[in-house]
Amino acid sequence: MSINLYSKLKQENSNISYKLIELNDDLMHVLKDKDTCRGLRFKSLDNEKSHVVLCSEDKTWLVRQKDHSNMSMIMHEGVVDNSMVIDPSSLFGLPPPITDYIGFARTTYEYETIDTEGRLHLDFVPIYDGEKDFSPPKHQQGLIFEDLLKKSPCSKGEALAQWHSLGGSTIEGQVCLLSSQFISKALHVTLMSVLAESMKLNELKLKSSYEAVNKDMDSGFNPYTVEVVETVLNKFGRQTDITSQEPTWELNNSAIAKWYGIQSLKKYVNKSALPIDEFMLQWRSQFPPFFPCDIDMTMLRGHYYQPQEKQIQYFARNTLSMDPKDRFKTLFKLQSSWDLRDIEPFIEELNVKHLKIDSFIMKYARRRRVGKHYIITSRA
Amino acid sequence: MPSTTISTEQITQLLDPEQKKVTVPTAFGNMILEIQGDLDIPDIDLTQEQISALNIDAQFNTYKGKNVIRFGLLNISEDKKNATLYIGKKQRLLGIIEELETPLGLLKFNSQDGQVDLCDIIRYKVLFKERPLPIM
Repeated sequence: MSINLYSKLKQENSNISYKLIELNDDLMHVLKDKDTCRGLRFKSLDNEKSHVVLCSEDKTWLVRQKDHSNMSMIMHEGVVDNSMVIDPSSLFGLPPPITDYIGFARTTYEYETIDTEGRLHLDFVPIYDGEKDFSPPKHQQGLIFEDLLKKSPCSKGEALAQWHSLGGSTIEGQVCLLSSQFISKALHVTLMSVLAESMKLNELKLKSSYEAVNKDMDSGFNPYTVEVVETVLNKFGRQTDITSQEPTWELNNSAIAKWYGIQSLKKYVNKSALPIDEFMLQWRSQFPPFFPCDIDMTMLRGHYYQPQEKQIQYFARNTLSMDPKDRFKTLFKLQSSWDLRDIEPFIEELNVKHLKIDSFIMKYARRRRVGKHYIITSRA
Repeated sequence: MPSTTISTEQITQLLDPEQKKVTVPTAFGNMILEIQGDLDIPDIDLTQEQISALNIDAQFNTYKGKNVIRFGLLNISEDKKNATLYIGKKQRLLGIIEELETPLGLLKFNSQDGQVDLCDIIRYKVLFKERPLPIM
């Protein structure tokens, strides 16, 4: 099959340009599904500096320009306006061309699509601490969730999951994040109320949960609005029948126990250590009466260290350096030897190349086996 | 935040599982021709006077009223595995039809109305990665 090849001459002031983008398996899957293929969109934080991402309903890909040294011409089948007589000597013994192809774009790069985690852009989201007069700064006022989604390089599914996990809520229509202290209070009030009403923790409805919370309130200002109760249910539970008109939440008791545990660490062992047994008693005493859950120190890994044997003290992970050497140095200063499972949550975010965690640790520390476990100590 | 929805209307029929599988070109008649290096062809629009002055008007034509230039002759073997590109009367390139590891989407950007269309999915390309050979 012989084909005449043409190239379009560049049009000045043309508004049209063509680019090639890699369609990986996930993207092909999105495109093949008639329900999801219409939801693809490019997003970026601004027009110049930030990366562009491609978002589907529930996934995000980083779009990166991948240059190559070849020239790719994108061509389209067509018939030129004036049929050309090709000199037989230019055919080199081939049959005369049966069609024409016209190159309409040339490129030396493709857009690579890399699976990434979409992030909510929270710069404009105020913190709500349960105050009566909620008046965020002017630049943070009037934002609704749809605006936040538009401003975030993130798919809708990821945005909702992060919003729920961070304790995102609305106060008088305005989006906000509930403060850690207020979440603790709201969780406690909600649990006390639903347990007092003998409601099942795996079948909670928003309306009845809110009514239970409201029952015990005075007639004055009540910060535990229906939105706040919904935020608690979303943060510490999951919806079990999304399609139902009145959805049901199933609370995750171990996530609640962990939350109480971290708050207890901050409260009782922030500045000085306590024996583990004593701390466990304090932790247990924080729960509402009759709240069914088992507690174990392993739930709090990554939030404490042991300055002495069988003693624990709270440590805020976000205060650690992002430099691996410095981070290991600080951790060994706090505690000279670590169980691999205890140190892992403190350093896993630095393992950006996704090495096996013990291989990563061995770059900066020593590892020895004691019985079934690995003990990590400093190289120095 | 800048955000643009990608229209996928045009490609829905390509993803129909009953759609006949195509090689080069796509069902919409598009194909990619890839050459190591670059093609030395004019890429600015010329007036008829400039074309006449260059005395190469035999290579020029129009497509839907727009100027185009003929730069070669492509031959694809019957088994759709090999390709030969003849450029002018002196050069020939030997190439292959390569199936892409990851399909490429063809995006059309319109800077006037900000619209982005995913207008085709390309799974093969005609690839010339060898140096040109002389035509004897």
